[in-house]
Amino acid sequence: MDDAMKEVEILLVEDNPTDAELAIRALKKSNLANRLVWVKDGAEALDFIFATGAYAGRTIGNGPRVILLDLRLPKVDGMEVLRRVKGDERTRTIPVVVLTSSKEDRDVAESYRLGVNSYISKPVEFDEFAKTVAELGLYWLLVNHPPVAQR
Amino acid sequence: MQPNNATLRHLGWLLGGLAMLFVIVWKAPALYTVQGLASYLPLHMVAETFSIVVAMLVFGVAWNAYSVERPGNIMILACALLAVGLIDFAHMLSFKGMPECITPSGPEKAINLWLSARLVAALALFAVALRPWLPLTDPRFRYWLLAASLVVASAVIWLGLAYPQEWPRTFIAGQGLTPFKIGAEYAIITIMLVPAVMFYRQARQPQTYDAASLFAATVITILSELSFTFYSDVADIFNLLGHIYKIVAYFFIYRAVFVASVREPFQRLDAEFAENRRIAKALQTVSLYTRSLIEASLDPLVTINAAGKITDVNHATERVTGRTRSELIGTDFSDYFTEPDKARAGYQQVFLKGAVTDYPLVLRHRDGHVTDVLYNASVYCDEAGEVLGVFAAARDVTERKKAEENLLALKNELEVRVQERTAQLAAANQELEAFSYSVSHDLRTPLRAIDGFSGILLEDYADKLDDEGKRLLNVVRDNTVRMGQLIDDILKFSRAGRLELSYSDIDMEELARSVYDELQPAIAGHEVRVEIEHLPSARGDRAMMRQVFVNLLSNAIKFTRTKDAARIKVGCSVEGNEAIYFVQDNGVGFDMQYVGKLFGVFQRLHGITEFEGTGIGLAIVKRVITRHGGRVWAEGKVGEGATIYFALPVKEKAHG
Repeated sequence: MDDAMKEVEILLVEDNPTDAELAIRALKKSNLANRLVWVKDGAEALDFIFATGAYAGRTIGNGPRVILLDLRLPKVDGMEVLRRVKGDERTRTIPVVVLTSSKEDRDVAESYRLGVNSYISKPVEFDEFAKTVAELGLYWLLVNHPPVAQR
Repeated sequence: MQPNNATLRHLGWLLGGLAMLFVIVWKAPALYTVQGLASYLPLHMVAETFSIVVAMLVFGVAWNAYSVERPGNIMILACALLAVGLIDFAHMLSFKGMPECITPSGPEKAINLWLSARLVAALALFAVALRPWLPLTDPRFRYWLLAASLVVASAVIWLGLAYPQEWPRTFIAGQGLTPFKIGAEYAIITIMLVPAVMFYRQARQPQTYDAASLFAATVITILSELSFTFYSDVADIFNLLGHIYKIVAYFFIYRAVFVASVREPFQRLDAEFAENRRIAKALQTVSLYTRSLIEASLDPLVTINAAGKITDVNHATERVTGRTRSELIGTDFSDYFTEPDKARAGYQQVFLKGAVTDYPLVLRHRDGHVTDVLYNASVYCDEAGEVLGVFAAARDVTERKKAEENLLALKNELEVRVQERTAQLAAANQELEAFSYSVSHDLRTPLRAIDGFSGILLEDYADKLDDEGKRLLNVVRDNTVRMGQLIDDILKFSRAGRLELSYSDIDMEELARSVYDELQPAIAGHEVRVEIEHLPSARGDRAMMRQVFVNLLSNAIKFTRTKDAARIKVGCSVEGNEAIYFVQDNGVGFDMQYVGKLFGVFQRLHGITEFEGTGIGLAIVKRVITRHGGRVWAEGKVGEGATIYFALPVKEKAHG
């Protein structure tokens, strides 16, 4: 269990601090934000996931258990992060949830083509947003059973 | 020749005159008794010489003018006259008072030869009269005739000169003519009556020969013979008369022969020449006419032989090539085109197939400028159907080609413009898309922050806010939500215009029913009677058409909410090539004076507190229907309800 406790459970990739704060607040309310890492751009996200750069000390297999990914990101955009995660044998089983303001069909279609596990459009209403974030955190961390190999 | 009754009449006068002369001499005793004319011998010689010359002339003319197509009769007559002339010559030598020739001359010796000559002449006329006036069956036969004539003449002359005593007695001095002599003369006359009659009859009809002259000759010979039956002395008046008649008769024979051998052929030749000239003239006229037609053609015309050489051209060809007719004729047809090989292939095709039509070639003028032409060509043949060459006509299509090129240039320009415009449109579309993407993403983020942090304020500082503070924060939150809705709607509207239509057959009735079922939660307890009639299927984008029904039905549900007995009806009628669908309700309706605003973006006819909504629904309906080639309109009355119509073009079954 100690190992498991150290494991990062949620990687939040979000450049907008208010959206990030709202998301973290919503997850906290459901006690899901204890093991959360927030990165502000795609490049940092990739460093974290693939244990490079500032995160070189990490082990690739050691989480996160779910990635909440915004699409519009500085440096490397969300779609590229998704492509890299789903294109790599070591990381492709990590569930990726796209959490974005965009409702554009092409983004939805492209995300699913790249192998996204879920596509969530951020509602404007905070209550609904909080509910949605809490629900998907619960689902991916508690309800969903990832393949054994990942652990 | 023509039946010349005038000639016959003249001859009649002449013959009558001669007969009268005979009668006068016979009945006038003074003349009758004239005997022993002292100078008769030279007279006789002149007369005989003349007749011999005429006889020889007859032979010479006939023999030398002979040709195979001439009647053999003339040859018979000519050869006979040769013999006659020769015998007459012997007769002249034997005349009384002439020097001794083999045997001494004397009346009987001369008479014997005379009679022989007359008999030959009479038989010849007889034969000529009876024989059909036709060419000799064998042209060599005239040599036989000549030989026979010479043999007979030689025999008679030899017998007459060498053996005068062997001949029957014809004349006894002091007594006059013997009965034999007179009988012989009568016999000759008798023979000659036959040709006389026949010639006369033939003379009265159109003949190719001078039958009239022969008739005259025969009759005059008869008169001559008659004269010789009368004389008592070889130097008397009858003898002279007989000789004169004979000369006249020979003259007529000469005339007949001359006419038949020389004049008639020449006249025929003349006539033929005249006819030929007439034909040549007619031909020339026809030829000139044909030529003028060819020259009148504005299209370059040319004839080509099998070797590909030009055989004829018209002015138009000279003009278009800048070369004269004489320069062109005999040269290679293909030399005058920008693509000689293609020109050669063209006329070879004509020789092969018989014709080509609209064969495009480019003619080159001497000065270098070119003319676009279309060739139409076919072979022309002689009477036997043998191909002589190709007749080719070119049509100048420079103007047409220019027009076509202009048209093509215009079309290309138009295409370029269309492409440019399409590219501009695509760029604009892309910009719009980027814009809406940006709107979709960026505009909502701050809204979410406003709403989110207002919410946090309400949650975390609830104890520090009074009720008015909380209400005000809730107003902020309501408006953020509304702003979010507006953004969503404008994106929906933009998407309705932007997305590509994916056509399929849509069961409109099924679609309307499924949308209605989906909207059931919106009715939520309110009693609405919905009637969906049979709707014809349509062709269009299913998702968009679904949006139409969603918008129309949710509108209808929304605006009947205040009614107790709410009714909604969906129906359709087909008019012409349009299917007119409608959604009718008995809700709050609208004032027809605002009908123009109904389909505008964010146009609302009701206060926001009365009915929720941004006013985008009908605008989206209009956009979708318009994109399907249809149209929308509405009817309504305040408090009584509204009917929204949308018409779609009916597609033919074959296309479905």
